[in-house]
Amino acid sequence: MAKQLVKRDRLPLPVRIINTALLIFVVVLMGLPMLNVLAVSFSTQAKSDTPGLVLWPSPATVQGYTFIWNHVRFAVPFFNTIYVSIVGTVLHVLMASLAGYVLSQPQLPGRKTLTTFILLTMTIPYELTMIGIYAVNRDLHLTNTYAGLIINGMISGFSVLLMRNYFMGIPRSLAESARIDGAGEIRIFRSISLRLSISALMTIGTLELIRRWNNITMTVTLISDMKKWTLPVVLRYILFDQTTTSGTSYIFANAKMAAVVLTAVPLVVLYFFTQSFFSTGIMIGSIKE
Amino acid sequence: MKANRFVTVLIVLVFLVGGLFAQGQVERKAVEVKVLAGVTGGKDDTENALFEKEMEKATGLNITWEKPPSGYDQVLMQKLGAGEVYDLLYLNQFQMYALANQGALTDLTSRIAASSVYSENVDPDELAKIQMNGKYYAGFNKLEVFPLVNVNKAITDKVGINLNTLNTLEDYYQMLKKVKNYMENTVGRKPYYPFFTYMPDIWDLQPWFSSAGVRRGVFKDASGKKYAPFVQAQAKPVWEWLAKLYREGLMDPASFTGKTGDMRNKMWQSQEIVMDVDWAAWTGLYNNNAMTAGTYPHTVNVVGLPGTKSPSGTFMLEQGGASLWAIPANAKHPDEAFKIIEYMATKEGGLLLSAGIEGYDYVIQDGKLAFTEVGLAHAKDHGAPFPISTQFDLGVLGTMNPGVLESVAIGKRADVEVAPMGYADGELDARKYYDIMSKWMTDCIMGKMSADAAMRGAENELRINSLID
Repeated sequence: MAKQLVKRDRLPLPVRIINTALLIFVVVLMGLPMLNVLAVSFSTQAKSDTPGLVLWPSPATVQGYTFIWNHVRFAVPFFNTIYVSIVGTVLHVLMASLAGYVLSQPQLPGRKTLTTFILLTMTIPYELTMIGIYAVNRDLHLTNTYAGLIINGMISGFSVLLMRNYFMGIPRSLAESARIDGAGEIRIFRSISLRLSISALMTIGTLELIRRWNNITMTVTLISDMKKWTLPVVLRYILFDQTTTSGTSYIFANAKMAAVVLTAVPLVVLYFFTQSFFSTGIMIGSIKE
Repeated sequence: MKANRFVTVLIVLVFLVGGLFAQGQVERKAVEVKVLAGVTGGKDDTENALFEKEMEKATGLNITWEKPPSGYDQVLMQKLGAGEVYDLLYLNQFQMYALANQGALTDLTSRIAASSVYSENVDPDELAKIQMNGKYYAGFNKLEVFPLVNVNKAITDKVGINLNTLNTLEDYYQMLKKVKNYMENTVGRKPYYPFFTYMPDIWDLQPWFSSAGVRRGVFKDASGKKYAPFVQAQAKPVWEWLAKLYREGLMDPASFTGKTGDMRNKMWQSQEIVMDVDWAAWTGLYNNNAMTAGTYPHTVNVVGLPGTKSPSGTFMLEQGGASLWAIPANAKHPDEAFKIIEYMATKEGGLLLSAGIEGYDYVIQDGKLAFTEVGLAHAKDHGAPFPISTQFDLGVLGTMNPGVLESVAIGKRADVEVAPMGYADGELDARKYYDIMSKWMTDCIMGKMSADAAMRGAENELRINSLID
């Protein structure tokens, strides 16, 4: 019976062939540039600047990696990025889940108004607020501080609403039973709501970590102290600002691509570990009222 | 009760200490000269701190040298928009025009006129190039170099071409034809497109338009009327010449879609082209990169050429837009800021902005500069690879990349006129100009329309957009 069902669910062979071919095409299309970046990063200085597509380094060398690590002291921005991304993400998840929990309570007065207001904050383009953000941070002495990078973006409408929707999907009877048993709101939040929302927490955590890791605009806005530069900012500096016009310095493509790989690898590794939570969380959160 | 007293005492102490600290800050800031720098300064935090100290030592000032990590233009506008006060700003020529027009910059005309440093170190011709309505709103960061014709002599030598005899469009055409023939029929690289020019922004065409005696950009005539020489009748033969190069397979089709990086790699890495127009500094970089690859000078030996002679007998090259230092109108310490501008125009300042910091980027051995590993990595460029001071001898920087000094020297020849593109006194919207020109003239070069039609179309569109009168 089960075999019959499986058979019946299967697509016809020609469709499956087209499907597979299409998927392979998409994978190749997306994979080739990545492979190219990787191959160039392990190429020699001279080979790396060769026009055309390089898919295998010949000969292979870590010259690009050692150059970039020493030339721009990659370790400092690397650890800066880890610090602001992790601390910022933990705080972000905490704030979003607290706010989401409050908004998910049916007895909360003005719940719809609050939700609408939060939704409104998501419609304002960042570019419109850039000067204001800089001025506020300057007045609060948050420029050139890690705190500035962490506090800005500590809470976002998207994450709050995602958590709210997720919490609303948890049967209310669970919280009511806990209340009857004498549990307070903090206890219900910690022991029931959070524990049942691991995939949502992982989703917003992953999204936020990626956002923070790749954030250039906020860092450029707030930070001029080179000690506090983060990876994407350094990467942009290497890839674009260092492009020689009338200057005399030159960074070979292998070093540039090595910088790209070093910046991207932590995120790729993270995605491998969180992808199952990620897809579950984003789907479940999206279909709730 | 005791606890309350303890808390009260603690709060008072905190305020006292905080007050003292704040007082200290106020006093320190009273003499602090705040500088917002673009490319000039240290390459990393350690070096930037050393750079700041060197600048303080040289000027006797207390300086904060702020160098944003990336996206300088955005940061500059953001900070100015938020009312941030600086004493000195790094600007490009367009930014200077825009801010000066808004009254946001201090008029430096009298200071520059009275400055003995400027009169002793800065070429008056260079100074005239940054004048705006007869006034100066900025001082120099560096001497701007220029793009010129770069040719791979290793190939042209094999073809038997004497590069010194190339003066006209026809001379270059014949040279390209011979190279194409040699590369395709003798070397067997077919098809071979010997010339690349970056068309999207019509950047590198000046050495060819020199033959018509016209310059890129928009100028104002005596009556104040704006005109664009590249769409005037005398420019037509040059557009037709470029179209001929394309038609005959002498121009790389990638010129219309490729990036400058592609052009450069084709020049030194794969020798897919034999000629382009690139910065004087790149003559040296091509050869230096080839040296790294082990192909210099037998396969790659790039030399700079001035291009084509104008009807008046000079070679007209285009200078890069100036990188400048300006004092905002709301600066707290304009006198001190001008002292920094002056220092950067001295030969000592030039050494700091090129070679870097003594003891870090280089040491003095037997009276000569010996570069450290860090200094070598920084390529003698800390904002001014070519210092503005006429008293600065590039020779002190030691061995330069092969060919670069010769290319830079071309700009100093009596028969070479190096001048910036036309900015129409800062009124030009350069982006629009580039877009309109490259759109129409690409069609002309690709043979989709005649030079006449393309020039008329471009002229009309420039006029509709109020770029010309």
